[in-house]
Amino acid sequence: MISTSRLARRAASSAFVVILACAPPVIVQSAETPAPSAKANAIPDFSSGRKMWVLAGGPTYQKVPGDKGPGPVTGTNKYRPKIVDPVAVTDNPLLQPWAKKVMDDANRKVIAGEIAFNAPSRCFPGGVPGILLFPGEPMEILQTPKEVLLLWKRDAQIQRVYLDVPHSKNPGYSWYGESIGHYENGDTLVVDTIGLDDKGPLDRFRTPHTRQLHVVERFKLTDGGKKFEVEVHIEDPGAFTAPWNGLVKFERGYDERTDHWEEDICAEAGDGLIPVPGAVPVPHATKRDF
Amino acid sequence: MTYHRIQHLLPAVAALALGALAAGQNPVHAAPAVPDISGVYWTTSYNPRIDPITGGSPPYKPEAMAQYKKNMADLAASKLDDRARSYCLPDGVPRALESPYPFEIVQALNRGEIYLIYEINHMIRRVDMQKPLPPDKELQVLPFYAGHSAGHWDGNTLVIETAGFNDATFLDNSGAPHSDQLRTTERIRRLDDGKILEDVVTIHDPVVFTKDWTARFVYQARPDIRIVDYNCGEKHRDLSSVKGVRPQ
Repeated sequence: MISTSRLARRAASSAFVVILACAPPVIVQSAETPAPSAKANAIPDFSSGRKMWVLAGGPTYQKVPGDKGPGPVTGTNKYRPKIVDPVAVTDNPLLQPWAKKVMDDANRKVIAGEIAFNAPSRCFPGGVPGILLFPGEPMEILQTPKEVLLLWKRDAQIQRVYLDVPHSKNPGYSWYGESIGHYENGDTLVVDTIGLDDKGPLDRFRTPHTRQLHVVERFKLTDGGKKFEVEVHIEDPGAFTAPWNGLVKFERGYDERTDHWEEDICAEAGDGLIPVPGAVPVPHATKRDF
Repeated sequence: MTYHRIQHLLPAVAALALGALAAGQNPVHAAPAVPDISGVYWTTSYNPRIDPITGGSPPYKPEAMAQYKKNMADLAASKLDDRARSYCLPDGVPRALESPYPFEIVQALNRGEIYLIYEINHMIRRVDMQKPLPPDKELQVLPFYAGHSAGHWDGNTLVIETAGFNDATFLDNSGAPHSDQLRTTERIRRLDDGKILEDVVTIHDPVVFTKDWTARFVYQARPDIRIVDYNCGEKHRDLSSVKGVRPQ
């Protein structure tokens, strides 16, 4: 009879041999090129287990610690509780004059009682980076060797990130643009997005932008992978006087997700097929594609 | 930790390491070896009606056939709103299978799941590869356009069982009805060295049909294209290369 300890040693020995046999060939590093640590080369796990990611810390950009710039556009509560829609503070020096005017005009309408347009609330795509600030629904992150997909329960909105490839020469313009990405430091996914149409929201304050928008999002795991934060870097020489940064935080939601994709169809959720007076109508096709 | 406990852990550790090495990556991408059918696929032909593989018409019960004829007449007269087209609600299954737009299969093997993501109306199906479908009574508590899907491999063929549908969409683009008793079984495999994907779907709906029937869809593997944004009412992908699509 073989003892438990001998079995354990035998299993250990077998497993070690198998691992060695399957190990990739050793690459000899030169003295000038230190071998990268296993941690730095690891692919961070954004799968969130059986939970989904939910927005933490509110639906506005926080200032990035150490950022010496003016920080993202903020809002004011001075019109609450009468006005519940966000009212922007438009004296941020980042705003070019035309952008400030657009926001002042939108503010006046909101203060006068009009319903503010919020793209995902009206079943339009949330866009990049604006969808990060939609507080109502959770999201999950799907990682494959070639692609990362950010899947939002809300209307099954999707941002695709193509890994380790360059941008296309002519990506065109769309709500989610063209996102490419790579991993850094074993804990970060860096996403670079261009080709963004000027329709997608940047934030909840209706901060406008042009098609020159270039967004770099750094998704970094924190708290042992139980949370992540996104440092959003925004450049748009057509709308802003300088690049700016904002911080968004996510944490694992309380509920476990279902085994099957849980549909949450915006256009049938009451505000779609039953019009809301004064609100922008939800997307609607007047003629068929095919 | 005792040897006894180590003994139980070692196979898992070895399997994890092997999976990681096989994937050439990292435990995030580690997975058991299964056929790779991931990628973007696009049909080359379109027919608004889903027909049986054996020819003829689906075996409608008389009352279902009457409903089908009424649907077609009302759609033609704009008395019936096809909300999958007007408000871009999900096409559901099997209607999405006949879409002239491409779709993507994503194999999240480390999670034991396969995703089918359709460009049209950005419909997502998540196929659970670890557990069979729960009983219909449980699924019908939360019915979906795309139903609930669970799958397994039969050799090189992915078999997907889907049930728990709502009855708020048509079976196809011609207005064919279905009930919430609909259940589909898809057998999906790559053919011709991976250049083609075949999806053979068996349709079971005892409320609408006298017997089960089967349809077949064929798609080209298209590594040269990407799935793009789809927002209702906006200009979308050029479908002129898909035979049978008539400009509207």
